[in-house]
Amino acid sequence: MRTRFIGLLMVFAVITTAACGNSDDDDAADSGSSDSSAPAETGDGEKVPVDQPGVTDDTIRVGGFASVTNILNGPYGSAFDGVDAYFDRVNDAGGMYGRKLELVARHDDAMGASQQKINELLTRDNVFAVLPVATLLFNGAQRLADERVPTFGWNIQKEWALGDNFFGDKGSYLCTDCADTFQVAIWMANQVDAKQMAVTAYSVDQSRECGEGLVKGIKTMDNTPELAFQDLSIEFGVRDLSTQVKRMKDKGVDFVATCMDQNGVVTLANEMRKQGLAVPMFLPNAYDQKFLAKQGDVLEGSFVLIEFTPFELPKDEKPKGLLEFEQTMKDAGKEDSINEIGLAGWLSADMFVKGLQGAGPNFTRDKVIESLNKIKDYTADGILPGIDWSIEHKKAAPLLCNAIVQVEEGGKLKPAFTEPGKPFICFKSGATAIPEEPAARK
Amino acid sequence: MSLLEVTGIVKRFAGITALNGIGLDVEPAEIVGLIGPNGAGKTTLFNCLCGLLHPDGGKVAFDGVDITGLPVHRRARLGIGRTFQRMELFPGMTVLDHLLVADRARRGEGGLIADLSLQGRARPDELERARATLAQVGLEGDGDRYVEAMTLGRGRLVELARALMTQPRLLFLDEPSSGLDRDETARMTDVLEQLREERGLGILLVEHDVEMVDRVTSRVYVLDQGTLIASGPTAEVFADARVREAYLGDLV
Amino acid sequence: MSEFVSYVIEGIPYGCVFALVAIGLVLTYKTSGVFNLAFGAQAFVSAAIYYDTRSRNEWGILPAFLVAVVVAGPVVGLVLDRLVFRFLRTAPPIAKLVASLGLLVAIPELVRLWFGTNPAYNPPSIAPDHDRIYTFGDYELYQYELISVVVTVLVVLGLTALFRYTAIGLRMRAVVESPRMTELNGINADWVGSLGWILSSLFAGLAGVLLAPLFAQIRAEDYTLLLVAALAAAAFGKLTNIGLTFLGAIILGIAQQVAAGTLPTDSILATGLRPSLPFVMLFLLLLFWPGLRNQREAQDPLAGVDPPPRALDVAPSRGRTTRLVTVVAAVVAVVVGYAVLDAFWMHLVIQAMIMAVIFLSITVITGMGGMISLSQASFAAVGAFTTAQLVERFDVPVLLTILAGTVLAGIVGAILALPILRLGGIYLALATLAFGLMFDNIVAPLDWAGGGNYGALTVPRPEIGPIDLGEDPDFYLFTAVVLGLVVLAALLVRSGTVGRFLDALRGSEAAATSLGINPARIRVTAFGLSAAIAGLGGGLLATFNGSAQPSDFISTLGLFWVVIVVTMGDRTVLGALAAAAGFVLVPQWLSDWDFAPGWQYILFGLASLTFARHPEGIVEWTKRSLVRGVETVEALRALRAARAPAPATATGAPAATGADVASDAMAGKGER
Repeated sequence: MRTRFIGLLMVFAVITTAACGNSDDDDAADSGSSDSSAPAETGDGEKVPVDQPGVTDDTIRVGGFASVTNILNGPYGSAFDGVDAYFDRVNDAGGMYGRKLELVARHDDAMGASQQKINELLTRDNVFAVLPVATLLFNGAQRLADERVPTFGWNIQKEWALGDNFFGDKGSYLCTDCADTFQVAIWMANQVDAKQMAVTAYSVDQSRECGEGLVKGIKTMDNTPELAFQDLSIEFGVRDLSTQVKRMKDKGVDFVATCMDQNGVVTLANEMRKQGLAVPMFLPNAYDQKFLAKQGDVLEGSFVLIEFTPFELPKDEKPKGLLEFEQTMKDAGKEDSINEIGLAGWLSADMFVKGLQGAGPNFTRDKVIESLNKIKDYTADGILPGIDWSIEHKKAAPLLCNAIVQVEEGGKLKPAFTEPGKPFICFKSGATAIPEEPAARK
Repeated sequence: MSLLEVTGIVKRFAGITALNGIGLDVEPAEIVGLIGPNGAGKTTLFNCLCGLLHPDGGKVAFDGVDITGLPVHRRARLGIGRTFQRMELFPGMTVLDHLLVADRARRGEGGLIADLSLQGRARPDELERARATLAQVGLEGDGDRYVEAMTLGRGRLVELARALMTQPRLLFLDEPSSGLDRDETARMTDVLEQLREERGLGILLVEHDVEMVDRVTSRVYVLDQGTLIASGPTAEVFADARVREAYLGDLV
Repeated sequence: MSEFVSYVIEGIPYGCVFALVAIGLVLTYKTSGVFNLAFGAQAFVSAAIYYDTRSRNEWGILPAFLVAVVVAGPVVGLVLDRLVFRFLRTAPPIAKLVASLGLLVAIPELVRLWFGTNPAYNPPSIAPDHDRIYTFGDYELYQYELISVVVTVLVVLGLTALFRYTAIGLRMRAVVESPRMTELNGINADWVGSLGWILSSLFAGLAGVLLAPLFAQIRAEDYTLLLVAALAAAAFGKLTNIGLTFLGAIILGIAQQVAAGTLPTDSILATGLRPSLPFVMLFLLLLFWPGLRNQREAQDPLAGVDPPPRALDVAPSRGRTTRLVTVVAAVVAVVVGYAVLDAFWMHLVIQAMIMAVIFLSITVITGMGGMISLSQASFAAVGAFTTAQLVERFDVPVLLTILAGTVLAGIVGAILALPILRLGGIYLALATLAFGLMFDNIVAPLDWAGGGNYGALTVPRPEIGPIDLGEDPDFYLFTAVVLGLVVLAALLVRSGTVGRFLDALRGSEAAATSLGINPARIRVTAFGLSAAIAGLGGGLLATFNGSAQPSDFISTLGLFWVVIVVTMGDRTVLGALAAAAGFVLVPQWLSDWDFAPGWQYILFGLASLTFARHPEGIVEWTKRSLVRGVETVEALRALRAARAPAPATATGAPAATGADVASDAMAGKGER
């Protein structure tokens, strides 16, 4: 029973949930390099009667919920725009199996009411599938798992691993506190010749787990820098890290990995500049162009982790999927939603439509889920490094791939460590040593 | 052995000595007066005797037992009742409720388990006792009234009845006649005498109404600026020039 | 040693950050008697204005500062005083607390209507050369930090001088202690009270603008978080002493640095400890700091001149018929609900009924016991976690685990009650808040409590013999029965010994103890019972939701449960039921009617302000108004029929003739 009244005041639980928000993924990788995903935007197929919840003679009803109202001022409502833009394209081309795709419910869970919204979607809105989900908390997900409702959205919570009917934008399994998860960060530290690493995180769930993952990686894997400093119990909401930075300086830290929110990152960066500790930072959850544009000065030189193709790639290197997303959003007048969340909405719609295509004209919820779970390399036309839906509900992909951008002067972003046409660098799941070169590039 | 035996009570507030070595005693079936001008320390002494304040020195013995360190409710259960100068009734409760609460409190009966097993409401024998006490103080018709709606005089009788429900052997009464009219004061006086005679109560009475003190008490103590300046049989004390000067003035 | 010196030096600028908010809290308390948790929201107002003028409209530092702090701060204070707090000057602490909590949620939303919800990144400072670094030996400070430190010290000196040496300072303190006495001395208490609000709000604005550069963006919540962390400093200053508060804040700053430098961070327990440091300090201060011990509410020496407080309660003994009718109506309502509710509404109603169980725990502790407990959410969490852990680890049937959770929550509540009961009013509230925050940080994340790293604990629905309550309609009936039993228990306790003893203690502790009532024992009983009911609600919630998650039970949530219940009426069962219904249904209606969720906070926050004038709660007030309305109509009718000039006072109609409070209250009683 999330309560909506207190949403505002749920700072302790909620900001902190998002503190390491979009950091905890990384497991979106693939098992092979063949791109099996078919273009999805062609509405096709003959119409046959379908007896499924939310499917009428001329529409397929879906609905979703997002933390539109949230104290982080995050653009989570963008997810709806992504779905709308995608559906419009499909519907313009004739829809699916003679039916229009309709986003009938776009609920605002106000950060805390996901449980109620799930109930509303299933019992009142009468939807066939739930998309998009872009919330800070995902309480009540168990019910979606029990009823096996195809569910798509922005995955920052462990609940996405509850069932094989959940399809997150970066796979559905998160293991933030696994040692191998953040190989990329440690590898980057090696790349910049760092010898002494520091890890900082808040004491609260996701942030701390992210920090634990990093610490385990540095401690247990071979070919890593020293772990010179760690603090995984920084009190959330607290605005002074002078002692921590002083320690880092004393220990000669030359690379800082942090799992904190924007406030924490800025506090840390300010303190580092003040004490003259000019070393690169690794930020798993700072891919927010507006934030970086405003605060980029102090974060200059930092590395930002992304799970999809960066928007900053030169146009000729961008994959087809990303170009389509950007163009469609522009055409729909939704430039403001060209961000991680808007993309998560777009990917949700894309996966849903692919699932429908695979399920065939007399589709059911189960068929949609089954057909999606046969896709072994879902890349959404190059946007993602590739998700193997046959395994990535319950465990990490064999290859863990990410893109990296670096903050330049004035907060501009530049892809880093990439090769032309291959924005992602990948590491082996379960590796015990940091390789000299990434296990793969894509 | 006296019912109440107080020796050498000292109480200081922030360096000011409010009570300076007070000693007094009360026998069973005796009404003793405690008089003195405003600010003499009468109420402070009362609060020390019943446990609301902890004296900085001295000893309070009840029925031969040292009770100086006991908390208020323990003293109450031993058989010490009191009323208050500024009325302390329970808003939102009827007169009868006041008495029933006192009855249960005194017997230490009831509690969560009893409440939950439907034993919470007043039993017939409890109601009977309460009504008898109401009758004794002359509040027969007022049992179901709420105390907010009562006159000051009747309120004081409620306080008295409530204290009586704890079946005390010793009563501290703090200005029971203040705010009462002539008839009510007379009634209160009658009730006190009756209590002494019928129940054998010892009563320590703080009172400004000299007439009442004169009528009901056998002995008085006179307190001035935290010090006892006189004590003895009422008539003698009232005749004492020092007392007249300090307190009684032209009143007598 | 040199290490310690370094902590001290690092701790001072940080301590000044705490000091700015803690002093604000103390200043408001000192000048208005309000424990103003909305101070953070007020700071946010000025920070938002400063951001808007300076960053968005590119004003100069001085004009932006003047508008945001010097003008807006006092204006906010004046508005709050005139609209809300002047009516609360002689109100009990809970009324003031509830009002400030209402503002805490309402103000940020009202500001956002204008300020917008786009993130306001990179807040500007008032320093002309913001980023310039000053070096003191081994230590560096940004210019804006230096300014904060200097301003804080100046403020401490200035305020201390104001209260010690000036007439107006004395008057402000006097008004808080006894508005009546002050008026008798020929001072206009209203005016002095307003001045207090102007001053403290000016300070809120100053703190808001000075602290803004610490954050990545301007958000009300960041200030409130800081405020909660700084509570220990305010407690150190006994809520009234500005110098001590400053010292407490510096100590807190140093303690944080020491903790950051020395405490291990390698287990969940250890990582929970450090963030809890401010709350542990607050808790210990409340228990052991001499200035706060035994400090029940300071009494206004002239409180005695007021008429006796009016009873708020509905007379518990209603007629046998009325009771029977009520029971029958309730049963009929449940049965009708079972028949007509569709899946969607049934889900919501179940949820509301479970909330009603939890809310009844507040009826017991606050309504009946007169104590403000802000840790009800933690008690509910104990129930939920126990339920989940016993099911998961030992495979105990769910119904039994819920019972076990209920009992354990009761025990935890009773144990917590023991040390904190001698605290009164606001201090009791603070101690329970500190307990709740410690619970959130230290206990809830543990594997054997809230489940630790691996997400929500799953809880199945109960089975009663052959009946499986997995389907909502069955669970609905089950919940209705449980709620009915809890209501019955609450009523029995209220009309029984415990309830009447609590009434007596609240009416007059001195008199109650003089009858032989042991206040500690009865209050511990009330605390334990209340915690047990909350634990039962928590267990129900867990089995209904299918999981027990710490985020369902964070203590800030409990804070708002209390405010909602108190606003609707904490003395009656109906108040708790209405609060639960409103809590669940109002957001649904708002969303159905396409209002942004922000309106909930505005609506709810402003509703809680009514508590100031209707402490009996909205439900009871409405009921009385209806009764009065009917009686007025009847009286008028009688009047017209008789064509007599004298109003029919016998009916107890509102006393146009100026009947005194006592007879008015009497009339009120008569109505029931």
